Amino acid sequence: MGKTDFVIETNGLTKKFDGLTAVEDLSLKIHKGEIFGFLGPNGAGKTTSIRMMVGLLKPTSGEVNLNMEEPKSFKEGIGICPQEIVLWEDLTAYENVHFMGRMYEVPERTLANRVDRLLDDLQLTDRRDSLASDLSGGMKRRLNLGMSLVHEPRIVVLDEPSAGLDPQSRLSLWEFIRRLRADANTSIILTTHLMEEANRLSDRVGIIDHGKLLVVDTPENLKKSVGEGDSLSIELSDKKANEEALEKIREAGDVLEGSVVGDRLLVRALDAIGQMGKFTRALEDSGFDVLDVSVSRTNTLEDVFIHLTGRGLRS
Amino acid sequence: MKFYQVAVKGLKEIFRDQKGLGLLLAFPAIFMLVFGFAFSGGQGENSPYVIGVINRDSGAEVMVSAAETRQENFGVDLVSTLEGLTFEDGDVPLFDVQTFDDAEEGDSLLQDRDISALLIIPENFSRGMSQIIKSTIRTEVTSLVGEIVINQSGTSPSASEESGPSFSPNGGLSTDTTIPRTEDVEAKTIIRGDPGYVAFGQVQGILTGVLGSFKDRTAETARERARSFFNGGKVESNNFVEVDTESISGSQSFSIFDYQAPGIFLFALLMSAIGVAGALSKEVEAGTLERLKLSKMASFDLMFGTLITWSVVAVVQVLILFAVAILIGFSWSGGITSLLLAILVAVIGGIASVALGLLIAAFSENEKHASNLGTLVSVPLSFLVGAFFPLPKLPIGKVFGSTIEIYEILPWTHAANALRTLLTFGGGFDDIVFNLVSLLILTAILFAIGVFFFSKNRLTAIR
Repeated sequence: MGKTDFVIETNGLTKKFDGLTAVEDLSLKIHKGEIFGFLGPNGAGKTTSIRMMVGLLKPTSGEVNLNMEEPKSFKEGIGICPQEIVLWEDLTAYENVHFMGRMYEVPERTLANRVDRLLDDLQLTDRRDSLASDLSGGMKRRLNLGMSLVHEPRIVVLDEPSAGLDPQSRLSLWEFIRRLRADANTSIILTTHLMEEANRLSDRVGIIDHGKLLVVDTPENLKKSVGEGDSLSIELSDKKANEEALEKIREAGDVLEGSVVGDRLLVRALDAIGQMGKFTRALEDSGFDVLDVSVSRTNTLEDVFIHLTGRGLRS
Repeated sequence: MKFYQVAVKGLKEIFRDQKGLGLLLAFPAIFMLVFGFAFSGGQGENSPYVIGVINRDSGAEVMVSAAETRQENFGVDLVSTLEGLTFEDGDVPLFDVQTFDDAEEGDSLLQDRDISALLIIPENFSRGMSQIIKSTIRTEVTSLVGEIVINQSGTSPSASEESGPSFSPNGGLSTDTTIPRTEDVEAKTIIRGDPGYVAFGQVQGILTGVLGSFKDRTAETARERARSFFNGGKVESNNFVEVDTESISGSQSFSIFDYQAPGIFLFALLMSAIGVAGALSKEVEAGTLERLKLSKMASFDLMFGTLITWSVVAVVQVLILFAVAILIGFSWSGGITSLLLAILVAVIGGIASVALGLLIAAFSENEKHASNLGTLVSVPLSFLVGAFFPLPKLPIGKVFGSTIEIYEILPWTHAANALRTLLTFGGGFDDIVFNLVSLLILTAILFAIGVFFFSKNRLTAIR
């Protein structure tokens, strides 16, 4: 990769709070025009990482470099949509976006049209003159996003953008994010704990856990890295016996990988469906009460996370 | 011009928040009503303040006409004036005057709080008053005759001259009367009392006003005499000080409420700092400040815009405070000019409170914190600036020959002094120039400090 291939680069970014390491040695390059997904469970260090990237939080050590083609300042170049809904409740939808535009010094002659276009893209035109306090949760979240885009930044950071959205609104938002990248070649960094969001939107995904970036690659490559085979998810009535049951399964068949994730046993094996009967019989012969067995034929980013950490994303 | 956008945004938010706006407007009205009631504003249930007076005045020869001097005792006149004063809208005497010869006896009564204050009239009080009369006559004659005419008589009109030109009761210059010379006399009248005693705080304010009025009226009488004398009019050789119940110049009568009102205005204005701090802290708590921090908005834009927004609120609050005060019977010295100047001073004092609110917000994590910290700062400040009670002397230096007390580093001290000068003592613009300029400068400094700390604590990356 050449110098101009990335728009933002972090070198050894570390943040410690009272001795607790929230982010450790984060080195990363975000490429121009890519959607980069930060995937990890809550508290993994995703938000801390991006707050350091945009200058809201001083790193304990390490540095952030921006590489802009246009002579834009750091503030002009970045737009961040926070996880929380942050807007002025007593201003209208239009006024909220317009005010932020003025704060970014967007010329008045272009601002009004830009605000109207943004509201239209975010399906808020009908509520243009409604006070933010009168908008629904989903509308507020879209407005929250619009306020981050009014200055047309080259890099957009979206912190858990679909938190609290219903499935339909979520799909609509994903479509908007894709268009944002396609139309303006905007680089997008999104943090999410939803594997589906990271999988469907991201060109590359970085998996982060306990403040450490574990791996960065395309979703496809990450899924391939887990290996072949299918996954069996098994639920026992006695959750405390999961570890012991896992040993019985390992003894009974040809297991590639096995782990306890939450309340269930996750077993990866070649010809998992063929071996399923063998596994359940071994468990029942040993006195385990099997409640449920399900099969996954394709690897997911959840599988990648489990493969890397031994835990599920929701654990 | 981003500060303008911030100000417009702030005003929209304030005016659209109906409940909040109602509270903002109701606050000064309720505040003034409650305090007015507490200080018996418009109430007739007044009882005289018991004060002690030691009159050591030995009298002096006072010039009552061009050719006549008479032995006068202004101390006796002052005591008679105090005895004749009544509360507003009634016949209840303002003071129950007890006279003593011995200061120890007075001090003993002060300690027991049997008297609210002890007024000690010095031995040279009449001589001091006599100098006021002479000085007034010199000034008046000099201005009436004009330097050219005086110089034609071959003598300079300077007050420090050993002898001066003369004036005639029939007009024009003659040699039968000389313009009186002034002497260097310092007649120090003492108002003694316990600063921790509420009644002393009230009484000393009234006594200070009465003394000022006493001197002003004596000078005014001398001025009128000189003018009449010079124009050939008839001059009555009556007393310089007529003892009646008119009390302070410009005011028909006065009540405790009238004397406390400037302090009440100031207290209310200082309280507004809490609202400002809360509003800014709300931006911190809601995360909107973080949004703004990422934009190109500077600390100055946010602070100055917020200052403009809340200054508009302060103007409205000041107008409500004054309107309610007048409605419940506040009467002020001086005319409408004094009142308008007082409103101006109060508005600037209100802006100083807004600046204080910005500073408080710089150290507040959230709205609740701002409210608590604001109360912790504003309430003691209202006492530290002498809103209600006089403060012990704590000089820190001199500026243009005037002693500066430590409290004068606070803008509201100057606001309090200016409000008292205008409303209690009937002063004019010239009398408050120093306070007004100090108030403006200190408000600007306070605002700059607020910008610095808010920028440092709230608009930089979190460590």
